[in-house]
Amino acid sequence: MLGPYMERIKMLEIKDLRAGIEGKEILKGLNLSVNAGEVHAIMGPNGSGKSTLSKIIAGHPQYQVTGGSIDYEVNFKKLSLVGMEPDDRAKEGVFLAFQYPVEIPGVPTSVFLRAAFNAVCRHQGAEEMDPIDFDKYLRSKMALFHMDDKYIDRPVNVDFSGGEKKRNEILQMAVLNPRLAILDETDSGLDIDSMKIVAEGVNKLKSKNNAIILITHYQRLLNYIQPDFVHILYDGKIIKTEGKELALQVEDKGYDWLIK
Amino acid sequence: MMTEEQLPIKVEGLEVYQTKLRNNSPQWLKAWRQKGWDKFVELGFPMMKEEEWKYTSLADLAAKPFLIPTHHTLTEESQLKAYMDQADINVVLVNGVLWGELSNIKHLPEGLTIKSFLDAAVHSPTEVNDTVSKLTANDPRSLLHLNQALFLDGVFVKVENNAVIEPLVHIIHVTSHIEQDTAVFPRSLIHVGRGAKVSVLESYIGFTPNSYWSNAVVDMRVGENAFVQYCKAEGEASHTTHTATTRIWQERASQLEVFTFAHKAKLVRNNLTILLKGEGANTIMNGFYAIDGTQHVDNHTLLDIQQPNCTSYQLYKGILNDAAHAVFNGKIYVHPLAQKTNGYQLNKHLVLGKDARVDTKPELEIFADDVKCTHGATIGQLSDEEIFYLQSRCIKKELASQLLAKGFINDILNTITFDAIRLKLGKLLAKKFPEVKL
Ligand SMILES: Nc1ncnc2c1ncn2[C@@H]1O[C@H](COP(=O)(O)OP(=O)(O)OP(=O)(O)O)[C@@H](O)[C@H]1O
Ligand SMILES: [Mg+2]
Repeated sequence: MLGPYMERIKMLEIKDLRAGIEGKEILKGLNLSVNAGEVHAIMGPNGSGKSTLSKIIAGHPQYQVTGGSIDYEVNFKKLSLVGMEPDDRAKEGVFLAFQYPVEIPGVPTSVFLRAAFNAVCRHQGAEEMDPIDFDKYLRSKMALFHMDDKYIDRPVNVDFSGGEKKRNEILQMAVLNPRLAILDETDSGLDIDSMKIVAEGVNKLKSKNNAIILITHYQRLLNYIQPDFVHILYDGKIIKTEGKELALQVEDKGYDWLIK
Repeated sequence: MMTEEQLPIKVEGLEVYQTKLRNNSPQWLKAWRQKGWDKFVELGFPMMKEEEWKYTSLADLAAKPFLIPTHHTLTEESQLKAYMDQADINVVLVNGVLWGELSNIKHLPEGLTIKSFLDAAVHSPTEVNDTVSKLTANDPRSLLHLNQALFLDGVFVKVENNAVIEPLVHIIHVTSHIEQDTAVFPRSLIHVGRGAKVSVLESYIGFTPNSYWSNAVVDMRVGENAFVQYCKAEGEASHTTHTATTRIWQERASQLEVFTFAHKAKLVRNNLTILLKGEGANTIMNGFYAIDGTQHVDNHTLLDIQQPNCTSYQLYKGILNDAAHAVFNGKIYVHPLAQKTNGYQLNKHLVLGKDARVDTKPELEIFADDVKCTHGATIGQLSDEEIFYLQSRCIKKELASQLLAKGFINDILNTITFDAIRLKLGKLLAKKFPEVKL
């Protein structure tokens, strides 16, 4: 149900975004608007700029934004994301599940996630958790995603299978409880059971206060998580936006008919 | 006979000292010391123009006159206590001499003998001589010979066949209360019998503001089917030059895990040689150094594989700050007979200081045809991708960098499977890398 103002809060508004790397333009005037409570799917051919967009929203320092704006609103606070440190964006509720999660040798998952969790607590003025309480909290979240306890002490993502890494991203999302979650091909490489678990995690997060952006190549995930909008990103621009039927059409016909 | 001016090293009161050494030594030891002395006098200090010493200069040592310690008592008992755990078998040597009161070696587990080197040299001459004369070092110019000539005493550790020693044997070489420019010559001999099992940590520490030179030798024999975990931890006083020669002989189907650690001396040069003398021997040869300022650490290793079906794994990691300099030279020599050898070598550096420098060189010499050997080296800074990943999880950049550096360290320390050793090294590192506040 919508609140008394009958208007959804515009959580993310990207206007005419131009960005690239080392002088090569990848995003070429991209527009995207996401309201709280919505689920958006972004599809598009390989190399069209989907991961670039997600990393730019999260603040990867490697990419340069050369034009346009990324505005983000959370708790009635309006923020311009461009120029903010990645950790400051994350503390404001921006979360990116990586297409290729990074291995962090020598840093146990429990340490990594407690550092992340406590950073948010400090930011929100809430009390930090000590290792023992956090351990309990983390185990409860892991049980939710049917993850083996042994991962708690293992270094982040090191020697994890592809699917385990993806599941670990969703675990992190559940621990941090973000407002805007961007999932970059979290469904790729997952078996059917893992996919259901991931979808469950995402659906648990879904609320009128949160927004979710799913980057995917497959309609399959969208059977479990119903998108409100499907966008096609091609050559650095959103070239089409429709309802969830668009994903079915893409599955059926590919992208050629859209690019013409 | 050379005049004093012609000798490659100046030692104050040398003649008196050498006479004293001779008087304390059985015949074979006298002759052996003399052989060492003659060899050192012939070769002198290694020079940078020599390949094995290309990056490490001992010019400072060669220039100055040295003193020999005149006492072997400890004035810093309380400081020493910080290094010791009651659960371990502690063996304390002060300026080269075994110090009974501080050690707890009166009641040792069955199958374990610990005594002074001289004691062993007198009472088990054949056993001692047999090892020290048969072992060879990777570097003929190592300062082994000088130690052989001038070491005062040392420690002998013996584990009987099939004995399983549970507690850690912690040998602590302390340099204490010495004059400026003193030279000490720590020496250890370790015999591990057939099928025996033991874990040994050797710590080299110093309590003195004065600069000194510690020139150590460790010789070890690992019997058939024995399992040995051995760690050498350098934690000398900060103005120190620490040179060390470690020679290990592995028999058939023995398993050895060696870890070489350095973090405190101004200059460290380690020569580590492992001779795989028996078929199917297994070696893990890891190391870690954490250096900053103008510290210099040079590790030269040789794995000399003489028999078939041996496997070896070698990982050395270093973390460098400021203008520190690390040198790594890892040689693997596979003899014609050593078929089905499996060797892996990796040397990784995390360079945090903008003036830090690394010189790393693998050297594989393979004379057998059915051999699998790989090697590699990396020199890098903290990875931007890793920092971004942590930042994207709310962790600010400085904390991310600290966590990643800690991770780099833990990754190698975690290869030490004996907890007591790993924890002690972690404690030593706590000054340079304090606990990260999450
Ligand atoms: N770090 C980089 N350096 C150079 N080029 C890059 C970099 N990152 C992305 N690109 C280029 O930008 C373009 C878009 O890449 P991006 O990863 O965003 O595509 P994508 O839509 O996510 O593709 P996929 O579906 O394969 O994941 C590609 O041509 C890619 O080569
Ligand atoms: Mg992508």
